Amino acid sequence: MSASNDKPSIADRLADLRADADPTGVGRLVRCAATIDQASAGTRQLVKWRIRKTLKRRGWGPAVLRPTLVVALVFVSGGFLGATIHRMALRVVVGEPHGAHRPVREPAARRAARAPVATPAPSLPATPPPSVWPAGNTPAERTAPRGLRAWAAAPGALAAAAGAPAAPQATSPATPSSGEATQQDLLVRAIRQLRIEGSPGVALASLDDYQARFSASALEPEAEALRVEALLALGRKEQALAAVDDLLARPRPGNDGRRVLRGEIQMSLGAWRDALTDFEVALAGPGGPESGRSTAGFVERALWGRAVSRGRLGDESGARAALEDYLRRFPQGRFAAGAARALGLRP
Amino acid sequence: MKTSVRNAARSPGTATKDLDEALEHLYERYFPLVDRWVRRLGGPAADVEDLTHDVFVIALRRRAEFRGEARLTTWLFRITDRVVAGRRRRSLIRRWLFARHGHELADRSDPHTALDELERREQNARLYAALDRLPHADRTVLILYELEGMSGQDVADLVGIAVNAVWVRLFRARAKLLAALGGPVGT
Repeated sequence: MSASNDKPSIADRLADLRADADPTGVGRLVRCAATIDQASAGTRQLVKWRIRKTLKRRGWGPAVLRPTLVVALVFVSGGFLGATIHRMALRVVVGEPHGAHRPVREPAARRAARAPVATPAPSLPATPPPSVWPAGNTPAERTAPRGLRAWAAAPGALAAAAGAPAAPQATSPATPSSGEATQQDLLVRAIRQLRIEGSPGVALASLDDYQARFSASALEPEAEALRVEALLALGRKEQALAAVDDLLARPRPGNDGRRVLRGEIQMSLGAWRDALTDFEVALAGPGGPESGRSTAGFVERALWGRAVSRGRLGDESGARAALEDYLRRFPQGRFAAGAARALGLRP
Repeated sequence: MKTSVRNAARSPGTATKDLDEALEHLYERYFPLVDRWVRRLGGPAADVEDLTHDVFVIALRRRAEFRGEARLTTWLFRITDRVVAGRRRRSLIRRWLFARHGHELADRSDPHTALDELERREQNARLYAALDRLPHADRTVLILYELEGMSGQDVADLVGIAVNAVWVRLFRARAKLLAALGGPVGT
């Protein structure tokens, strides 16, 4: 220590501690450690050679690889983060539950459980025998829910948001107002509850809530269609029929399809004559097969329903004629195999 | 030397030549000093060759960052201090992970070393085991002042702190060292 103010409080240097003032032996340890080894000339040259080698070896690898890895990591983590935020935002906006971001196919047993009660298969009174009408092949059993779904999914924005096939004309480029967005959100929720979660009762409650808040709104027909579908899923056919009647009471485009649906519900209730009337009315309507412009799926269902209803009512010749008409128009149709069997054309 | 190092950084077109030149200047002139610092700061368990190599590689790669505002020895010492501290940290983690207690002197002792040399190494190991329990900044100041025999002002210049801070750290380090050494060790 050169200056007096350099002195620390313990001692000038620990190495200068006398043995009697050094109970821990720290002074001896420091004195012992004061001398250190030195690198030999060979070691010095070896280290220099290693340094030169390391510096020469440094190529483009670390300069490029490290930034590339950092950028890739940022992109990957950013992607995950963005996807998570997107999903959370979607859940907040439409109330999507966890794991419901894509349509989930409902198990067959569950679908069967909530399908309308199967009506005994109709048959032609003489030939062909009753067995030729395939069980579970009536329009109400096979097509009522599907037809309803297709019809209710017509507002494409709603259907697309719920994972159902969207009608192209329904995608509106305009941004909906907040009121419309709320209406759509409620309907999307109902569609999801009905078709994805398989909870028609919950969907019905949501529709009640919707209609209490937005009576006479622009989306009311869609809400009514969903109500019919939910009621059918719950097996409440009379109520579904009443709901369809309400819809049919107001002249709207697409009432022919609703009429076919009504007929199918009547068939499932065993009201064959009323069902036949509905099918006849639908087929004679402006979108019927004779109009020359009909490509709607309801025509196929109406033709088949008419044949079945006639058969059940004992009108054998009428049923045969209806079946032949069906096969002529839809030789590869959904009910073609059943029609051919009923006519004895196929074993 | 300052000029050599900075000039080497300013001529990227002749990088290899400049690197060789900087290496010659830096290494030949400062190797003894860096080697001594590494031995002091690292202690008997340090891999001196490896640490010295790392210090010079970093210094030569970052020579462009040296702007001459501090002394070159201060700049080199900071690199050395960080390299040694990093190695000590990794060594501590390794020891903790693999439950290797005690000092590593036993692994590095030459069984044919003379008895007094072995004793000296054991004393060193004991001292550095106590020093390793100190905070890094306090440890560095203590080593430079007590073992390297530098003055308070020289320590302050080298470490880049005020002289008063040197005394504060030294006082604190001594108290902790004595506490770490515990009872009498015999004479």
